[in-house]
Amino acid sequence: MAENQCLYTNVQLGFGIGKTQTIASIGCFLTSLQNGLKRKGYALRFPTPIQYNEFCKQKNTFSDRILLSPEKIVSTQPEYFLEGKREVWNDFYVKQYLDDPTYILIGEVSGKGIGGSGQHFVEIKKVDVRGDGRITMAYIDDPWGGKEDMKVTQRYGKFGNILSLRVFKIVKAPVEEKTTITAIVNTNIRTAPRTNAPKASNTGTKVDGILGKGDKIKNATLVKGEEVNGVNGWWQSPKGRFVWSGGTDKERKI
Amino acid sequence: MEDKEKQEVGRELLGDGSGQVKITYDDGSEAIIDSPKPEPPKDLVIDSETPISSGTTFEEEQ
Repeated sequence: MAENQCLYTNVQLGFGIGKTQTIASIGCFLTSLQNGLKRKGYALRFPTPIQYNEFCKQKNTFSDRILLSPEKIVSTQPEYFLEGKREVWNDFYVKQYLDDPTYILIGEVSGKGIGGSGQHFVEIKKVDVRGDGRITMAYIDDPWGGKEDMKVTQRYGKFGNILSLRVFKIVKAPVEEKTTITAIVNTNIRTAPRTNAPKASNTGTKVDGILGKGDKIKNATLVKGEEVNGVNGWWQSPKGRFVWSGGTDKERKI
Repeated sequence: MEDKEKQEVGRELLGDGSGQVKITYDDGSEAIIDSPKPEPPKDLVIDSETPISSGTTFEEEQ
């Protein structure tokens, strides 16, 4: 799901100050990049713009407190980015980038499209291509409102659509396994991936806070947690609860 | 083992027209905060070294 920058009115972008330098007001580039990272496999590392904003602060990625440039992002975050550059639109290259799962494509659009002015940035997710290779439509995730798969012309058609590109080649994310797990013994459901974390409540299971033998969790993702009997993999439920993988049919070590 | 600070994993606008936002944390807990709709940015320049381009034209569906 695309993040909506407008919901982060209480979070300063970078080292910004005041109500006008929040993620809600000017966090379009950060949110678009975080949306891209999330879709490319870094959902656990950066589930919301908040974590990526903090990461950028720790890495000294911001210039002049709030500015993000492709060069600075790549030089300060080599664990995630191999390359970052500015380009103008080119049908052939855009299609190539979108076909390659290791690219994130950010488009500069006019802020007039959302009732403002100056620059605004969106993530370009896919395009329609005609037989002769000409791109006939681009679809974006717009962080202003968290709109997904929107035709770029819907908001920006009167303002030149995509004005320029920011192209990022990313380090391929480790596979975040998403699967159904089954408890092989009665196993505690905890609020964090460690044995001293409180048991979760309102779990909807026969015994609250316990995943009974044979019970399943769908769409569980693997996270690293406390090592128990040599096993440190824990399964995280979509609701953010944790089960030690050693108590399930899918024991994992990370 | 160190206690891990709980982490936000999502925000969503409450659909009741109140303008409030529900925050979900990785421990399953939730919080509600006021979140007034922001004004669109004016004259925003995030990356001044932008390539010169007149933009793109796409064929609209008829």
